[in-house]
Amino acid sequence: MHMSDALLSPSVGGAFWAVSGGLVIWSAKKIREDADTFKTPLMAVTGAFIFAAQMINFTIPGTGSSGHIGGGLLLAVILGPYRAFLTLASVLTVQCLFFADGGLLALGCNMFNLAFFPAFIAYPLLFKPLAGDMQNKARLAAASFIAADAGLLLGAFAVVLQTVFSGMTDLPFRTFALFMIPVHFLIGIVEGLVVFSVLSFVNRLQPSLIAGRSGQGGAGLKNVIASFLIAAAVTGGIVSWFASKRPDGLEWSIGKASGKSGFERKGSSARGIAGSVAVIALAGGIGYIIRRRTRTHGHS
Amino acid sequence: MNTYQEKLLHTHHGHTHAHPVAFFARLDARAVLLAWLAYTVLLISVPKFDPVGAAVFASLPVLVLTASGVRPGPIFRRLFYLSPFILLSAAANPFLDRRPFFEFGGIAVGAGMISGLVIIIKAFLSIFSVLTLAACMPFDHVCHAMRRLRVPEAFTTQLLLLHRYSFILADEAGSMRRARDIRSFAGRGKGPGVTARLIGSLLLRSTARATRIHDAMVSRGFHGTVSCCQEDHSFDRTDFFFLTGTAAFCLALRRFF
Repeated sequence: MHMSDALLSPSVGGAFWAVSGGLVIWSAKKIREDADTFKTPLMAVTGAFIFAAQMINFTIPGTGSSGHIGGGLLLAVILGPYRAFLTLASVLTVQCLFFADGGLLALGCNMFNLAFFPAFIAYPLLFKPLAGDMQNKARLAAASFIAADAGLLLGAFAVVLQTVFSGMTDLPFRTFALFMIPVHFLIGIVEGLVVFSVLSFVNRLQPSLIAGRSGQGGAGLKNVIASFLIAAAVTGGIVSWFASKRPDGLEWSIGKASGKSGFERKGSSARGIAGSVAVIALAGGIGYIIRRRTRTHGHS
Repeated sequence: MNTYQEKLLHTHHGHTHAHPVAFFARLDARAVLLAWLAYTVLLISVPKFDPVGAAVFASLPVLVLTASGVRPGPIFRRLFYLSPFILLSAAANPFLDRRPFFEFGGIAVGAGMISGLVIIIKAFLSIFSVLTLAACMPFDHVCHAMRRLRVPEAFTTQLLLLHRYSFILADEAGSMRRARDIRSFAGRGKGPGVTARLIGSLLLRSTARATRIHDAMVSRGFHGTVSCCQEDHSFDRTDFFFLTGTAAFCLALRRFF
């Protein structure tokens, strides 16, 4: 589930922008090492494939409701962790800009929750060792279920932490986690089922697409990478926690620049409401005049 | 993907290359992106108990919407699809924070109601501002601006190509879905098993398409990078005034409301 701007504080959002930005730069550097030009259109098309695959809804057995694939783990299996992370990050960016899923400041959190966990944790640390060469169906099934569920649960847990640290909602950590974790556990089972079925289908028809396509470092390297990234995440979390517990840093400077402290109760007076309505109406009026005076092309 | 998302995808102006506001297309996209970021950070920094301070931030997207002629229909419809997770967080506040905030006609309004309202307002404004601005900005300009702001080239190229192929594969998936739906009766045949095989076929078709695209790119001289259309555009005075003007306006909104 996408994290939203509305529940974030600037410091938590900023911290995760920094962490996810670092991950994008690092992954881009990593993929430059293998100069395979085919991978450029492959990443783009598989990213677009995730979009398209999300359009094909399916009914969830026993519930009557419908769902769609998330696709993070599937991309990681096809592209490997670095390319999968960049592709998922680009999908999230397009979702943010076209559908307003999450919002601009929440994009960093979303890249972390929905791209980092499947690409850098669920796939290399769980799926790969469990699935092996993907020839054994039982192992493939176990790997798909466990890795898809773990990726989703870690993402959901991160959403809970980011929301609680931001402090916009009064939901206590326990209640919120108790709501999010079971829901995402069930979503993860469905996701695992679809990932398993898609992979066995592809394995039967075109095994070359997923088999022996690892080539991006061994398990040892993966462990080093993962621990480095967990350290980065923990640092980000601690920094944002301190930043949100004390009204200093970003909020303090914004408060200072705007002359208001973050905890001041204000703005509920009738004068404030009338003033803001006037500003919005004025903005609309100016916009209308600009519209009348500009020659545009496209829609009239 | 929901129906409203499909609608947004197909009404997106970047897709049809009909930019409603020539002004935005002429600006250096870096200025627009940075101004947009400043707006978002200042909106999100509005304190928890200040609904008016948050609501007044609607003025900027209202200005862009009325000035641009972007069709408001799909954007307003999107506002009805707030994620259940936001709604839960906002709805919980009135029950968890019952401290009286102010009295209105003898009825005490709790602090939780106010903070819940602020969450909803911010969620609306975040959606509203993202969709209006994204509709006014040609998407390739956004990617090139990111590249010139030192976002890695691999990522911006990925965004450009992803945008290009999303529409094509969305159409393909749309016809596969329609074919499945007209062959399924009373919901039978729409389960995860059949759908996974459809998704698998879509994946195989997509990778075959990637091979064809790569052949076409290589035959046109592609060797790793996609060129940038705003490369010669310099950050001039208009861009500077636009950026500082927007940031100053947002700061003024934060200060006076």
